[in-house]
This record gives sequence, C-alpha cells and structure tokens, in this order.
Amino acid sequence: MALLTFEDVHLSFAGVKAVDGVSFEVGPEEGNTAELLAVIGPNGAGKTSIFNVLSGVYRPQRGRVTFIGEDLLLKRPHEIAAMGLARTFQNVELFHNLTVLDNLMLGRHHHFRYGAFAALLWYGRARRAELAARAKVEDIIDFLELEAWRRHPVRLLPYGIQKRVELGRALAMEPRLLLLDEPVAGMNLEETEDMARFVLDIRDELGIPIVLVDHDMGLVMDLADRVLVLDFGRPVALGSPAEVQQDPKVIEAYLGGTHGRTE
Amino acid sequence: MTETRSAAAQAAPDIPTGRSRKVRGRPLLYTSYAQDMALLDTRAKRVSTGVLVVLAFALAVLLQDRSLEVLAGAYVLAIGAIGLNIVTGYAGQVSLGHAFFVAIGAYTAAALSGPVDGERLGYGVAEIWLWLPAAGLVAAAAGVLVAPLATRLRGLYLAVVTLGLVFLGEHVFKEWQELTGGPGVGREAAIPQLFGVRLDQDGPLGTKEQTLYVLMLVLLIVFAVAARNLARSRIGRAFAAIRDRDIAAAVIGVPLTRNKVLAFGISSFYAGCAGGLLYTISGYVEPGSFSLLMSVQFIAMVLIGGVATVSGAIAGALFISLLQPLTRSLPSLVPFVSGDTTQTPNVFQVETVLYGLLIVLFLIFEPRGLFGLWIRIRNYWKSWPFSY
Amino acid sequence: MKGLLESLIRGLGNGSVYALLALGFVIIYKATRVISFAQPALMLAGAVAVSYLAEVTGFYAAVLLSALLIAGVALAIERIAIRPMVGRPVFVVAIITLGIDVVVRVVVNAFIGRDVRQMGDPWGFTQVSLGPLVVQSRWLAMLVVTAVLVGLLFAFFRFTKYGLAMRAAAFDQEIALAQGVSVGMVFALSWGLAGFLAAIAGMFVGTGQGIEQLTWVVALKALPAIIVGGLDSLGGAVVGGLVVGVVESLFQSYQGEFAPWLGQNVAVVSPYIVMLIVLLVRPYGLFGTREVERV
Ligand SMILES: Nc1ncnc2c1ncn2[C@@H]1O[C@H](COP(=O)(O)OP(=O)(O)OP(=O)(O)O)[C@@H](O)[C@H]1O
Ligand SMILES: [Mg+2]
Repeated sequence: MALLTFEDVHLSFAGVKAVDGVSFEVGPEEGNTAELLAVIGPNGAGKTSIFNVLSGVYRPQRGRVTFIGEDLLLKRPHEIAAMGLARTFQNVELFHNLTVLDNLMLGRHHHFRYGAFAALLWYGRARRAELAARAKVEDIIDFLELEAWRRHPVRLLPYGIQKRVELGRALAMEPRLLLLDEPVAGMNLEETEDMARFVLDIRDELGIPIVLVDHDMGLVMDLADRVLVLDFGRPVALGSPAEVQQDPKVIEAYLGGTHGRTE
Repeated sequence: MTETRSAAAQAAPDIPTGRSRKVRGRPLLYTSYAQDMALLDTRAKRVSTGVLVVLAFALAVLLQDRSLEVLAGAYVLAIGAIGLNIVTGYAGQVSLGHAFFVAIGAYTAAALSGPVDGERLGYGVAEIWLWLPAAGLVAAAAGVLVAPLATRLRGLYLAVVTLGLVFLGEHVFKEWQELTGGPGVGREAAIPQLFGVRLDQDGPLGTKEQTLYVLMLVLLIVFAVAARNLARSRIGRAFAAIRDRDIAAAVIGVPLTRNKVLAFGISSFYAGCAGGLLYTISGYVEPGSFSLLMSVQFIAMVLIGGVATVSGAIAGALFISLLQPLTRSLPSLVPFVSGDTTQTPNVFQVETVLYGLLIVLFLIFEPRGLFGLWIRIRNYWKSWPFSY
Repeated sequence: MKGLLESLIRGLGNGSVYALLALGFVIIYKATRVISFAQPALMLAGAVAVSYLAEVTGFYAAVLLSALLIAGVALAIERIAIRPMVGRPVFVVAIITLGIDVVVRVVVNAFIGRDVRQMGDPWGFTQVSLGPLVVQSRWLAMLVVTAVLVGLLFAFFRFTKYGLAMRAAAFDQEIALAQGVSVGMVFALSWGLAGFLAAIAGMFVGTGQGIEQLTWVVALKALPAIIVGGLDSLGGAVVGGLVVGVVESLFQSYQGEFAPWLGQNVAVVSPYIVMLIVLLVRPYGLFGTREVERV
C-alpha cells in the first residue's frame, strides 16, 4: 500500500477553488526505494494548499487523505507531525528568537516523553533524553553543514541558511515523508546546488520519500521520479518528467493558456 | 543517519555524562554536550553565581532588619515575576491577570494556616511545607481553568480578558468577607512554621527579619533554578516556539492547547506561591491589594528586568522593590515632594509616575531591559579598550 | 414594567458613553493594531479640562475646547511615544500605552485634588417625564449626543478623503501605503479622534456626580464593550457599549432582588461576566473579523 494517498480532494476559500479534485499517491510501493514526487504549477495553482491540507492547517470540503493507513483529515497538526509527516514552508517559518540548535531540537519535540515535573527538576530521565536528542541533532547539523551557525538566533542568519535550518528541523522529526515547499526559491546557483545535493541525499541515503514543490524547472526535472502538474487547483498531468514535459496540456498551462482565467 | 555519516559519529562521541575535563585556557571550548547544556556553562558564570549566592546569604548578618525586610519582599516578588515571565515572556501569552493568581495563593495559604476557630476561615495548618505547595496548586488549578480561553483567543483579546479576571477577582475578594475580611479590614496572613518553629518571630535562627530573609532567599533560588531548567527543557522550547510562531509550532509537532495550559498552570503556581509568601512578612492581607496596579508592577518587573530571562525577572523585581524605599525617602531630600498623600506631588504619585516612565523608557530604548544593559556593559568590557 | 424601561434608558444612556470610549479604542486598534490603554487617562483629562474651562467660557464652549485640547494631547502622545514604535510587537506598544496612562493620570490627579469636581453641566440630576416614565435628562443627553457623534463619525469614514484613507489603511496597510496613504497621518488621526471622543465621554461621566481621582475606572468598562463587539468593528463598539451599559443597569436594578447570593455590587463586574460569556461562544466578539494566518 502507498505511504500517502490523496484522493479527489476539494478545498475552496470563499469561492476560490484552491484544490479542485486532485488525487495522487506517494510510494514506496512494495520493494521500491523512496520516491520523489514533484508538484508544479503556476502561481496560485494550489500547491501550498495541498501541503496545508496534508499537515492539517486546512480542512478540505471533500476528499480522502490517508497516511500510513490512517485518515489524516481527522487529525490535528501536531498529531500528524507525530505520525511522521514533516514539512518546510514556502516563506521560512522558523522560531526567530531561538538558536539553530533550539530550532532543530524543537523538531524532536514529539520524540520526548518526559513531563513538566521532570523538566523543572532536570533529573535523570529529562537530562538523558535531552543529551540523546542533542547528539541526534548534532548529526543533522553535521549532515547539513550548519556547524558554524549552531548558536546563532535564526533571525540573524542569511536567507539561504535559514532555508537549510528549516530543512534540518524537518529532518530532526525523523519523518517518514518529507514535504518541501519551494526549497530553493530565492537562492543563488551555488545555494541551489547545495540544496539539490541535500535533497538527493535525503531520498537516497536516508531513504525518506519526498514531495517537492518548486518553480525551478531544471531542478524539478533533474530530481523528480514523477511530476504532478496543477493549474487553478485542477490536476493537469501526472507522469515521469519526460512525459510531462511533452504533454500539450502542460505546455498550455504554462505558456499563457487563458482557459478559466475569466472566472 | 548515523550510519550514513560516519564523520558525525566522531564529531559527536558517545554521550558523556557528568562533568568532563576542561581544557584550560579555552573557556569557550566544550568537550561534551552535558557541559555545553549545563545551566552555568562557563567557569566565569559558575564563579560569579557562586559569589552572588554567598553574598546574598551573608547579607542576612550584614544588613539591618529594615533592609532585610525589603529584600525578603523583593525575593518573593521575584518568584512571582519569574512566574509571569514563564507565561508572558517565554510562552508569549500576554497576561494582565497575574494579580488574580497571586491573590488566590495568598488566600489559600492564609486560610489553610489560619486558626480554626478564628474570626475568618481557617484550617490550622501552619506548616509551610504544606500550605505553600497548596497555595501554588490551587492557583495553578485556576490558571488551568483560564487557559482554555487562551487557546481560543489571540494577542490583545487575551490581555483584556485576563484584565477582566483581575476585576472579577477584586470583586469576589472584597465580597467574600468570611475569607478575606473585606476591604479596609483584611485578615491575618499565612503563618510560616517549619517543624513547629515559627519563622516569622525572633527565634533560635535569628531575628524575625533574618529568618524570613533566609527563607525567601532559599525559596527564590529553588524557584529560579526550576524555571531555568524548565526553560532549557522540551517544554521551555515548546513555549518559545508557540510565542514565535504558533502555526509552525503545531505543524512540527508541538501541541498548542496542552502547552498553553501548561504555561498558565506553571506560571500561576509561581504566582500562588509568591502570594502565599508575600504577606507573611507584614502578617496581614488586604483584598484591595490585588488590583490592576499589582499586575502592572509585575509586568514592569519583567519588562524592566528583561523578557524571557530568569535573571532578568529577579533583577526587575529587585529594582522595583528598591525603588520604593528610595522614593519614600524623597521628602527628606527634595523639599517639594511630600510624604503626605493629601498633598501634591506626593511620594506615591512620584512612584507611580516612575513605574510608568520606566516601562515606557525601557521599551523604547532598551527592550531587553536590565538584562540587555548588562549584556551591553559586558560586551563593552570584553572588547575593552576597543569600544567597537 | 415602568421600572424596567427606566432601567433600560439609564443603561442606554451610560452605554452610549461606553460606546464613545469604545469607538476610540477601536479606531486606534484599526489604525495601529494596538489597544491603547491610555484611554482612561484621556477620558479623565477631558473631564478635568471641562470642569476648569466651564468656569471661564461657559459649559458648551468648554466641552468643545476640552475635546480639541485632549485631541491635541493624544496627538502629542502618539507623536512622541507611539510613532517611534512602529514595527515593534503590538504587545510592547500596548504596554507602553499602559505606562502612559499611569503617568498622565498622575498629572491629571494633581488637577483634581482630593475633592469632587463638578462639570458645570446644565443637566445635573434633573429628571424629565417621558410619558409615564421618569428619567434623568442627562441620560437622554448622552444618547442624543452619542447618536449625533456616531452619525458624524460614520459619515467621516464614508465620505471624506481622510476617512477613506483610514479605512483603506485598516483594510490593508501595505496596499494603502502603495496608494499614497500616509501611515503617519492615519496613526495621528486615529489618536486625535480617540482623544476627542474620550473627552466627551469624560464630560458625560462627570455629569451629575462629578469626577474624582478614581473616576478613571469607568473607562475600563469600554474594554468589555470592545471585546463583546469585536476589536475591529466600529459598529461593534457601539453595540458593545450599549450592551454593557444595559446589562450593568439591569444588574443594578434587579440583581439584589433576583440573585442576592452573588453578593453586593455585582453590577460593577457584570460587563466582564458578559464579556466572558460572549467570548466562549464567539472568540472574536459579535462583529470582529476572525484573524486568519497563512503559512
Ligand atoms: N487561507 C486562504 N484564504 C483565502 N484564500 C487562500 C488561502 N490560502 C490559499 N488561498 C488561495 O488559494 C489559491 C491557491 O493558493 P496556494 O498558496 O495553494 O498556491 P500555490 O500553488 O502555492 O502558489 P505559489 O506558487 O504562488 O506559492 C490562491 O488563489 C490563494 O489565493
Ligand atoms: Mg505556494
């Protein structure tokens, strides 16, 4: 069975159809390695809205979403996170006054078991859990090459680094599925290449399936196993990068087709 | 992840426990996470904190009783300010209702330790280790009851609602004369007794003021350390995450409701304990004390001291408390300020203006409060003689 | 029945004073996203100004002059303490206004002294008959004046250039900026208007019984009013003010009879009880807009 199924989801805001009958699945199917599904589409196509439905921020009016066999639409955001669904945000949503370390440690919040009383005393269990978490977070710092920034409050960091910290925070959750919303938006070439390398490592070395949203076609076509194309909330095409690139409907959606734009 | 990146394993050796050796001459080099995550992570901090604590205890024999009384009160207020800092500074839930929770603690303690057949409600439990936690817990329960509102309301809506709490509380306390004695009359406060020894009387441990001073100092240290522990734990981080960006916090797995309830609960526990202790010094509680002005004073302490730092809350409480004896001595120094409340300007007016002005000035010029000033001074000296 | 109607009219009269104060809060909130806790001080200052000026210029001129004077004071406060804080967290600015309130009130108290100061108003405690009902004339004055002011205010926001600019800025500050609306002007106008309204409200609060140092707490009743109505709704402020006034009046008249177990003076806190009940049902008040945050 697929890890994630997204079935005929409809979401609208005061008449604006943000997601209009979209369906897809994310592997791994039996025996496959982790896959990377890219979701593309013009501005306002509903890509971020799909992520918001998945992480429980928006409730769709219609549709079915399951993750590891459970109905996601009945769950609240923190419960979904605890199930192993992690994401990054289009506009960096870090905790600005906290250091890189604390932001990453927060990714591990649901892995901790100790309570308020232990926290106030900082006795054995709380202390041990914190130290163990710190070691895991250091692995991620190392993996994403963030050593130099550990103790900096994230609001003082360059934008590209903030994006990387956000990826780190998602990884710290030890997710089963990772959603990346425009991870290279606003980055220069070098930063983009770094990020692409990290994304590939996450899929191939860590074996975490990824849903990636981005406007950078080069990146998407290079990395993706499959591509879902949206326009005005509606699915236009779903297939391998090569198939999608040749699809006339996709070309029309991108090259100024005016269908539906008068609505 | 560890398997794939063997380098990580080297950079992060097995988790060492306890203190590890320190490389001399490089104070900022950490050799273990335990050391890095300790409360006092550098030798300088350990030494200066140690000196401060020893000095604070030494004051018990160095200072006059009158000054000890002021300081003991300041320490109690500091416990309350730390509490407000937990909910407002760390968790970002603006509460103007702190005075309400302080009141609940004060009356729980007073009622528990009051004489059974006295004029007012009393249960005759004078042992402080019984009534103090009880005062905290009852206040915490009230906090937990209020918290669900906080999860539904945002920002200034919450501020106004908690303000309403103060007015409601004031009303209830004024009307419930069996418990509080009513306005202008009041009742006797909690009696601090430890294993049969009255701590609010001259006794084997020293004068009344000395004993109370040491009691409050010890309690302040306990509460401060606990708050620091909380702040560096998963819970303190969760509070800060909710303060900085609540939606993102929920999406990465921080339950909002539970943590807001927790923040209000713990904060109110601190407030309740502070309330129970505060009036043991004067021995008397008056229901009019728990007004908006008290909430504003606590906010002033937090803001002047430094938001979201424990040491800042303590500094702020000391600052505000010491302001009072200072302004009270004004009439003898400045001829036109009167000590008589019927005259203008009088010391109470000067005091109130000072609170207001200090809040405004600190917020405009040094939002990090005394803590920020301290950082500036420290950085200045670190780079001395280069001031840039 | 007669008693109920008289109680209602008293409630509507006092409620319209709360509505004036609430409008000030909401106007500032819409322009700056901050609740100004300085309103009580401005209200008290307005009343004090009337009490002094009325001896010199006569009552009506004193009211107008005082309202303008307090509008000026509010403008000065905005310029000195609020404008430099643009872009800082709203909580910080709100606390600053709390500090300002405390400071201004001490100054105003110096002018009040220990006594009760009279407004020199023509109404006092005089009563008039409305058919079978006997009500105080000042309640009617409050209702009528408030109705006129609210009408003018809504016309201002609907038809004048400045009013439209303020609405645009309240709707979306960035777009308004891009259209050439000066945010400084919007901030200043909002404080000026709030000061003006607070002064009129203060005068009404002082009619009859006069004012003393403690009178400032009356202004706090506007807080439950704005929460009940919704922080960002002008209409809500008016409705909220009236609701609070009526509820309070009904408690004054009937709580002793129907619910004596609540203790005495429950009317004083009844606005907060209403507020809590409304919030449990509608977290953004009756007419407030729900804040949606996007990620
Ligand atoms: N909370 C909301 N309230 C109202 N409308 C919304 C909301 N969230 C999204 N929308 C609307 O839904 C549509 C889809 O938005 P969405 O953010 O999902 O697009 P997107 O594909 O992520 O676009 P972009 O590439 O610009 O990020 C847009 O028309 C947007 O205005
Ligand atoms: Mg998007």
